[in-house]
Amino acid sequence: MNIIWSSLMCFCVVYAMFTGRIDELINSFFSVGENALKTCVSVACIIILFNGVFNVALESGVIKKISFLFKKISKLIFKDVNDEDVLDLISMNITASFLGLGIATTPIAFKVLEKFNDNCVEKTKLNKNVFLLACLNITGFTIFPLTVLSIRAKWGSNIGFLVWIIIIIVTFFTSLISLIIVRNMKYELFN
Amino acid sequence: MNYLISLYILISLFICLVKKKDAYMAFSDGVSNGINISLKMFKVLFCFTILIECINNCGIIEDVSNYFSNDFIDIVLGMIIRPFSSSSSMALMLDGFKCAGVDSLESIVLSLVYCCSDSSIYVLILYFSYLDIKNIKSIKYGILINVISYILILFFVFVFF
Repeated sequence: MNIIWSSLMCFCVVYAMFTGRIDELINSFFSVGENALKTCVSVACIIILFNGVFNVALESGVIKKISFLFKKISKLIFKDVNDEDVLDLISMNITASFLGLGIATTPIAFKVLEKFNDNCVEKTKLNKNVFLLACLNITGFTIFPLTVLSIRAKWGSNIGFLVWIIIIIVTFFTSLISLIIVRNMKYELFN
Repeated sequence: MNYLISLYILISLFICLVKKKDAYMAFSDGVSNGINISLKMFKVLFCFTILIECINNCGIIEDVSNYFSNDFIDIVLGMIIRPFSSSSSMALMLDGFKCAGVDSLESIVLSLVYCCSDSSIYVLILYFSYLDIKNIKSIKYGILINVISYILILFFVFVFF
């Protein structure tokens, strides 16, 4: 991480020097901090709010009922997880991304990560379940891709339905293929 | 989507009331838990936002897209940026809508790239830093997921259009 971050930062500064944008870059440095803070705070607020709502839903037992739908699939994906609560959370995560509630998936994913970390023996090593969860959230099989469809509709698109179909097909196959690849990887190589 | 979220909140609150569970305490517990989670990921998010702002402000994206301004380069640029940043990729998509029209091939591919893959490097780094995993080599598998989705997108666009 150290190498990627610092070399990219250096590259940006050097590039700005050569193209004569160094004044722009330095001036923007002062506003960069503020913008970064704004992004962080807005993400954090969403996480805090949804975490609260999520806890209420957990208390009332709604989660158990919804996650029933995807429980079999999550059991199939995470074979070595036996904890019922974790499986509930994972299937809730799948449900949220399935329904296109992209924002709501991050707090749930963090809760699952915390549970994985509690059960894990070697904590700082990469483990298969973490990678599978990340894979699920990156590919994000969805049925209602509301953001893109609504933006396209706003710009006057006529082929919204066809694009919708393609999105569903592509996300489904990407999820399937990448889950198969990630499950069959050899994790000893990494550590 | 808004209806779904509000229905979800409404149902869970209603069931809590009927079952006489303490919804208020559950909510405040969740909030304090959420603050801990966001404090944990704050530093990583901050570093990343600064890096992305730097890339945007040093002007390399503008230069590349001005230098080669045709559809093919726009699509390739969108595909390269997608694993790093969601908002830059969204900006490229809107730029495509403006320049080439919303139903042109370029705009369709760009909006599929935006929707069907995610900022994999960002997600992986967020997860790993949350768990204190220092293994960064595996990020290349995140990019592999992106590449798979690009291949599928190009294939299906080729079939349908």
